[in-house]
Amino acid sequence: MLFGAFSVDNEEIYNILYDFSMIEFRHLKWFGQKLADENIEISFDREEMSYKAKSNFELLKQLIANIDMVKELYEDDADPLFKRFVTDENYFISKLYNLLKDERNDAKIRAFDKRRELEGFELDEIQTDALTLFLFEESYKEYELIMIYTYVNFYTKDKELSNIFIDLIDESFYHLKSFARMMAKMGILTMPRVIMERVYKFEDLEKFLLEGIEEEEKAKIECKKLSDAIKNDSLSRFFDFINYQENYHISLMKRALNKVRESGE
Amino acid sequence: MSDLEKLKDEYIDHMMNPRNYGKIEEYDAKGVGKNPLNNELVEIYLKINKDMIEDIKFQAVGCMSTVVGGSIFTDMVKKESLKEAVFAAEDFLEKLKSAPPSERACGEMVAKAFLASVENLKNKKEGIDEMEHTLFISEDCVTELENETE
Repeated sequence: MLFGAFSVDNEEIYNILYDFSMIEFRHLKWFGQKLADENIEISFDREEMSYKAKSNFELLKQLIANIDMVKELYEDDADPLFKRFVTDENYFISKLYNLLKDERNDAKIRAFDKRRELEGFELDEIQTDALTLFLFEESYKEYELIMIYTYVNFYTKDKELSNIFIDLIDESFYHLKSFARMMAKMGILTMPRVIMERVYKFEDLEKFLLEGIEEEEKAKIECKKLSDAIKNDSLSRFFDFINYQENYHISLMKRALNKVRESGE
Repeated sequence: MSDLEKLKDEYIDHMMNPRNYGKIEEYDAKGVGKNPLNNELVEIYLKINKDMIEDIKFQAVGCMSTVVGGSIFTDMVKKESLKEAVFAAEDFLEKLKSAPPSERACGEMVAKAFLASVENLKNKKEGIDEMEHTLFISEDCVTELENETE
C-alpha cells in the first residue's frame, strides 16, 4: 500500500493510499504488540510483494486483491482488534472500488521506467549517479530503522525510551517518504529488501544504539557529500535539511543510550 | 544505448530487482560470508538436486554493491552443477583482486558465502551437525570517503 502510494503520480490517490498505509502500519504495531504480550515470536519475513503496476487502475485492483487475501488470515473476527482490522479494510476496499469508477483516475505509472531524470533539475551523469546510489542506500536504511525500532518497541517497558523510538520511527517515515517519492519521479522506485531477522532480533540494545549513532554520523557525511555534489540550490537545501535532522536523531539516540544504561533495558 | 549505458542500466535493474533475494525455508545448505570488522554479511541458501543447484537464494546486510553482487552471482550459478559454481566463485574471487577495495570486499562476501554453503553441505554429508558455515572476508568494506575522514 505504501509503495503503491509512492508509485502513483496523482496527489488525490497518493493521499488516500498513504493514509491507508499508515493505518495498516498501526494495525501491524497493535498486532505485533499483542503477539509480544502473548510471548509469540514475531518475524518480519515476507514473500516478494507485488506493488509494481503499469497503471493506477492495475495497482488499485492489485491492492484490493492483496487486502482480500490478508483478510482471509484473520482467525478470530470476534476479537476487537481483528474486528477493527476488518472494518478498516472493508472501507479501504470500498474506497478503492470508488476510485476505479472514475476513468480520470487512471494513468500510466512511470515510477519504475528507470529514466533517471528529475523534472525541473539539470543533473549531469555524475550527479545523477550519486543521487541514484544515495536514494537506494538511504531508502533501505530508513526502512530498516522503521522496522527495527518497531520491533524493539514491542519489548520496551520504559515509557521515555519508547517515546524516543516512536519519534525516530516518525522521522524515518518522513525521510523514507521523501526519498521514495524522489525515486518514483526518477523512475527508480524500489521497495526495500526484506530485513534479515538477525538485524532486528539482537540481544544488546546498547551496542545497537552505539552502532546506530555511528551509522547516523556516516549518513550525515553521505548527505553532505551529496548536497555538495548536486550543486543545485533547491536540492542541496533539501539534503542539508535532512542532514540537520540527522543531528537531532543522534541526540535522541544518545538520550536512548543513557536511558538504556540507567535502566538496564 | 552504448555498452557503458547498457551496463549501467543492467546494474540499476539489479538494484531495483535483486534476483534470488530471500530465504529457502527447506534448504540443504547455508553459508555466511562475513566482514569481521563490521556487521556486514551475506547469507546464501542452497537447494541441491543430484549435485545441481536447483535453487539458490541470498540475503545481505551491506551496501548496494553487495546486493548487486549477490544478485548477479546467484543468477549465474542457479541450475549449474556445484562443481561449475565453485569454479565460478573461485574465478570471481580471483577477478576481484583488481577491483577497488570497497567493491572487492562486497564481492568477496558473496563468493565466500557461497563457498561457505558448499562447505556446510560437505560437512552435513559427513554427518557434522552444523546449522550454517561461516567464512570471513579478508578486506574491509571501506569507502573512499570513510578513508578520507579517518
